[in-house]
Amino acid sequence: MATLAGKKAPYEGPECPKCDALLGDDSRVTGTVTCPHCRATFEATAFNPPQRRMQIVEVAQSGPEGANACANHERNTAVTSCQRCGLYICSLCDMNVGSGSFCPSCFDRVRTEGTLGAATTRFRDYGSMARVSAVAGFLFMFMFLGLPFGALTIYYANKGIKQAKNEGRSTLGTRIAMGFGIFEAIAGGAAIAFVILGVMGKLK
Amino acid sequence: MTPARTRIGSSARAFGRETVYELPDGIEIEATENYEVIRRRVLFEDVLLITYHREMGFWFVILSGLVGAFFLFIGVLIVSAQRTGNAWPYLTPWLVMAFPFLLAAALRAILGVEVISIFGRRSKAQIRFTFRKQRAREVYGRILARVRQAQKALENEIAASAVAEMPAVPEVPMPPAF
Repeated sequence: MATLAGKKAPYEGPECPKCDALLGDDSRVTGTVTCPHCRATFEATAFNPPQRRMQIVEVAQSGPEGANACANHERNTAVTSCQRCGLYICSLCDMNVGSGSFCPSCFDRVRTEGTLGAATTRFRDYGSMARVSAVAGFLFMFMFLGLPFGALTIYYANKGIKQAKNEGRSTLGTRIAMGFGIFEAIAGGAAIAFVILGVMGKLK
Repeated sequence: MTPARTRIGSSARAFGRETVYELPDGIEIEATENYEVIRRRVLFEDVLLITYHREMGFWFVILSGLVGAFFLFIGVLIVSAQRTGNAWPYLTPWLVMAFPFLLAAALRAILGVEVISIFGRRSKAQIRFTFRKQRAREVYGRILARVRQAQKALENEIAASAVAEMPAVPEVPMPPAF
């Protein structure tokens, strides 16, 4: 969708890959397509994906015996229970992203807490933070800031390595940052100790 | 823990970086903005349109060209101020600084960038290839094949569940023959 005052509009469907204008149904075809807005041409392949149908069984259909009603939709038969709060839920309420079934409110909560890996869409990149902190520490070591920046780098690198392992990414860059952090902390600590000893007159 | 994924491309933007991965059931995009990673997915089952085009990247060419021209201009300015002697020792450092920017601008203007855009029902993904044009075609073909495969499997699944749901035809006795 075209931008308005620099703010990107939410995604509404297939767009022109060059001007971002929303494409109408007549432009969503297979072959060479010309954008009606910017007249740019591009190669396209259109699909008509089938809609997945939700199977909802009503309590009346399941019969009185053994049919538990959904906690949110009393007419629907529960298909499972929330693994966090134990509520009976129907297939409409079943929020399952491959790590078990959750009811909508528990799903929102675990997603906000960040404990549900597959549902996490926004997170801090500790590896990048460790690398930036390592560079900053190296640049400001002459100002006796090696120790705090080194400690910060070690902290971020530790979290970054755990995060990268969890995500299945390479930990090499973060490990190098960790090495720099250790060096900065030791060198920074030694520099401060050297100055203190010098001030106290214990250095000859 | 995220499912097994393969990195298929990445592109740098003015204020961040986007890395695109292939998952067993879709495409995953990780956009890095400052120190925050924003992750979104386009499922193969949901894909409505896939496009392939080549673009130049107008602003990249203009900005790189301007930076290169700026360094060149300073070099020329210094050389013109130098009235006697050999000009090359003064010009060379500025030429060295200008060269990568001018080369980047020229390469981008000549080669362009291959862009694959995948539009789903709720999200979209873009993969950019600057140098590996052959790989761009391969990735485009592979994504098309995987989308077709996923949507065919979903169609079959829906058809199978529809057959299972259909009530059995009651047996009606035939009328007696006369």
